[in-house]
Amino acid sequence: MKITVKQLALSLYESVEGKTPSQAKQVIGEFVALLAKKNLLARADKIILEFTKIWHIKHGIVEAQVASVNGLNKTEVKLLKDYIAKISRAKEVLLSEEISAGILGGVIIKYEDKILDGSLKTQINELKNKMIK
Amino acid sequence: MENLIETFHIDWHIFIAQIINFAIVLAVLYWFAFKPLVKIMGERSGKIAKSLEEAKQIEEKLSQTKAGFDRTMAEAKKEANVILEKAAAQAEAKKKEAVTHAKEEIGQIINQEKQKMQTEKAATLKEIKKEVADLVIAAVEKVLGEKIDEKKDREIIKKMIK
Repeated sequence: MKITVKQLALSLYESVEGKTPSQAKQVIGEFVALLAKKNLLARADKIILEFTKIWHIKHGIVEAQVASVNGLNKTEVKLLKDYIAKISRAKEVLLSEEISAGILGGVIIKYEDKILDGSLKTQINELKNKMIK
Repeated sequence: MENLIETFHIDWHIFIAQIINFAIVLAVLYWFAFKPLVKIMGERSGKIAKSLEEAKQIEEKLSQTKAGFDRTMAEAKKEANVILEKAAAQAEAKKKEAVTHAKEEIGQIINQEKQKMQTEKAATLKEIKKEVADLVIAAVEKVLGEKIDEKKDREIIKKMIK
């Protein structure tokens, strides 16, 4: 039976969960060796992605991308993190920023499979759509 | 009497002979001329009567034929009239049907054209609206690009996450 990427990632997670960093490092080394033995190293990237996903779910971590025109200051980053944590019920929010002049103003927040579009560009487009209808 | 005989110099012998001669001539004429003539005349009369009878019969037949012809003609005329009436009625019905059909077709064409015109009108209107909206949005974007500074942008962000 073929082992799926998800199963491999889940088994790695279960192996490292609750371990100290040094123990975890050892477990990961053994896991990599196992992958090499089973000729599964080519799927390592996917396993890492899946592992990260599982890790985030289990630890209540949410990854979010925020696009703005002028960048965000510390206060805004904190406010946004709190806001995303509140709406996604996450314990921790990992925020990555992106500068996008095309949105004209406001922000676009992407987390998990959701998009919160508060950009001026989108609001203008909505206005345009209302005008055309 | 005797005077008369003397006056005309009648000789009894000759007279009797003449009477006999006359009788003979009369008999000959009767047998050879009058009788055949009467026979021929009788035959001729019979033929004429027959011809007349035949003519009468022919006339009767002719009159009967004429009456039959008239009757047949009258019937034929009647039938012809009936046929003509039927044909006229059928023609009228077909005419009405054709008119109704034509009216329906015209109605359909008008409806189709109306619908087409409405669709075209709506499309044109939409196109105009889109063009106007594009212009307005381009203007708004330009104005916003100039008006929205960093401070206002941060206010917008704060407003969003509150």
